[in-house]
Amino acid sequence: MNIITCIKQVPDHGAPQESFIINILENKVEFRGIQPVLSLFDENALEAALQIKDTSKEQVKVSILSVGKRISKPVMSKALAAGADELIIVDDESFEAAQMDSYATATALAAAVKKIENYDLILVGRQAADWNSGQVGIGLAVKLGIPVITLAKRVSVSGKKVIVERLIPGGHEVVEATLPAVVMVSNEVGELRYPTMIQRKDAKNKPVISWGIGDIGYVPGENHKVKIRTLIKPELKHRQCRYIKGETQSDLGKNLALALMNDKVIG
Amino acid sequence: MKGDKSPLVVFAEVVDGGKIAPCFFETLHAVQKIAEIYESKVHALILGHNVADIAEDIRHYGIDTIHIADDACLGAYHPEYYLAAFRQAYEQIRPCAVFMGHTLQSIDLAPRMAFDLNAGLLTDCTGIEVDSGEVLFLKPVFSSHILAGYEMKDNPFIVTMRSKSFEPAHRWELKQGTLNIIQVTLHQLQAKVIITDRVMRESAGIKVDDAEIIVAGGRGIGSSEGFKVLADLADTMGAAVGASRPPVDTGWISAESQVGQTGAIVAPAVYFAIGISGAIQHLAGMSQSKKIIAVNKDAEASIFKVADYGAVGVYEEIIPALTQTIKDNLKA
Repeated sequence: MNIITCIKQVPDHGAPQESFIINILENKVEFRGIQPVLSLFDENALEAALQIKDTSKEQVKVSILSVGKRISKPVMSKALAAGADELIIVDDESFEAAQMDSYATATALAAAVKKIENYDLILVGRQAADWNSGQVGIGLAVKLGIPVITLAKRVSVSGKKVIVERLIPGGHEVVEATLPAVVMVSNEVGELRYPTMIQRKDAKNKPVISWGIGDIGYVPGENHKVKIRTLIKPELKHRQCRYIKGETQSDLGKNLALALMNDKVIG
Repeated sequence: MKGDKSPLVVFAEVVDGGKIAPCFFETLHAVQKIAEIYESKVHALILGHNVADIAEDIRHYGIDTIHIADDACLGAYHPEYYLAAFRQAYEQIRPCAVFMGHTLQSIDLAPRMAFDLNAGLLTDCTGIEVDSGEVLFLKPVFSSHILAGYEMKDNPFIVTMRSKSFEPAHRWELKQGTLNIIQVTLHQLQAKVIITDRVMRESAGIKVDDAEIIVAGGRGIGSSEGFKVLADLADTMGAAVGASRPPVDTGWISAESQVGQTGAIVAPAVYFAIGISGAIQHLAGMSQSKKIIAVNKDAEASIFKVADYGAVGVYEEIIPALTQTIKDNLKA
């Protein structure tokens, strides 16, 4: 069985606000001193793929597919170290983040998947950690003409079917579709496993395939459906914190309760 | 969008087998403001089964036309039936834009609608702004460090709106607006995705969405046992137990408890943030709370910047003492 996990490289989502710079002239966001990282939910998608690989009786090959501009091999090698078998990169200057809306990204990914040809399951994160759009997985499935299941908290494969526990308000539903299919993965799947030193070393020997847009037959378009007009840095409203004092830890708890009741916050 | 006289449609999501999702009324309010600017009509669209009462009730909200597609296939959410019903309704209404609350349902449905219509989609919008007569839709990006204002270039387009971002629409005594039944044919659809089971959690307590008080824990809680200490405090006050993302990822607590950008967006009267560092993705889900109380052993944790009350120390000792003091007071 062949699983493709689509992974996006994003500026570190844990970086402080000062690292994000607004370029007013070009109306875009630039980054100062931030390392690229794997997008958070895409890590969950890879973890879901590896969980299937762990438990499957048949041979499972997990390929990482990343489409973007100046993709960092050291960043992607984290995905290989965690247990993926190969890395396929489509790197092109035209994949400028600001130029890539969900349509363009889904189109480029679909073109790359068609070139890979041999796949059963495609796993993607529920949304990217930078623009949080949450559309690409569905767009990819539509362009490939295959089913898509969203908000997966658990993914398994049985025969020619993918079985997904999918988040709904107050619980989950069990959903199945015939392969090939796309599944969009949520964080409940679990954090991406941490590679050992040996796995890190081995990752350097795993195959890396590099394609350009010509190889996948993708033509960059300019037809954007949404346009960014303004960018600002919102200020987080700070509050005046009243620190509770106490001799011991339990005094702290008691005094906190008394302060809250005295101020009629509770009780 | 400017100059287009076709209606703005607000999608009325049906939840819990017969109620309108609360965020519908917030989205409606935002859309009513947009309609004033563009002099557009506001319509609502309900997809569901046995929804006549719901439709009748939302006539109190000043909507021009309420479209209803009522079909046995729409009793519970199924992406393909809902998409097919939406498309059939769309062809009749021909709106210039569709607005939805940003919910678990619309996270699934809105992109399907957008790709089906080849329409632009903006998800998780938190505000609107008028710029030279054109409405811009605001959305936090890059871990909420940046707020982007989007122009939707072509009609139709779709926007999903984050809950608690707008005040609910006004409910009028007077009912108005016409009801329009839309006939949909769905039974012949061969769904590619099959739902085999629905597993609802035995909800032990109050849900975070409905709670007036939330006791939330983060990575600092350390274990699922730790959450029992929080549950004791919550029980004492009739509060819900919530969490930031890490405890959900590690399975200490169930997904419904997650508060934050990709979990529930809440604004309770009182929010206890215990062992929560205050990552911006979490703050996005709770910073509108009226009073925030932070307990953390790290005095430098950013949660204290948004807190009204703070206690620096170990929760394992602070919280039981807090709980006991409240209990003693209730008895007295």
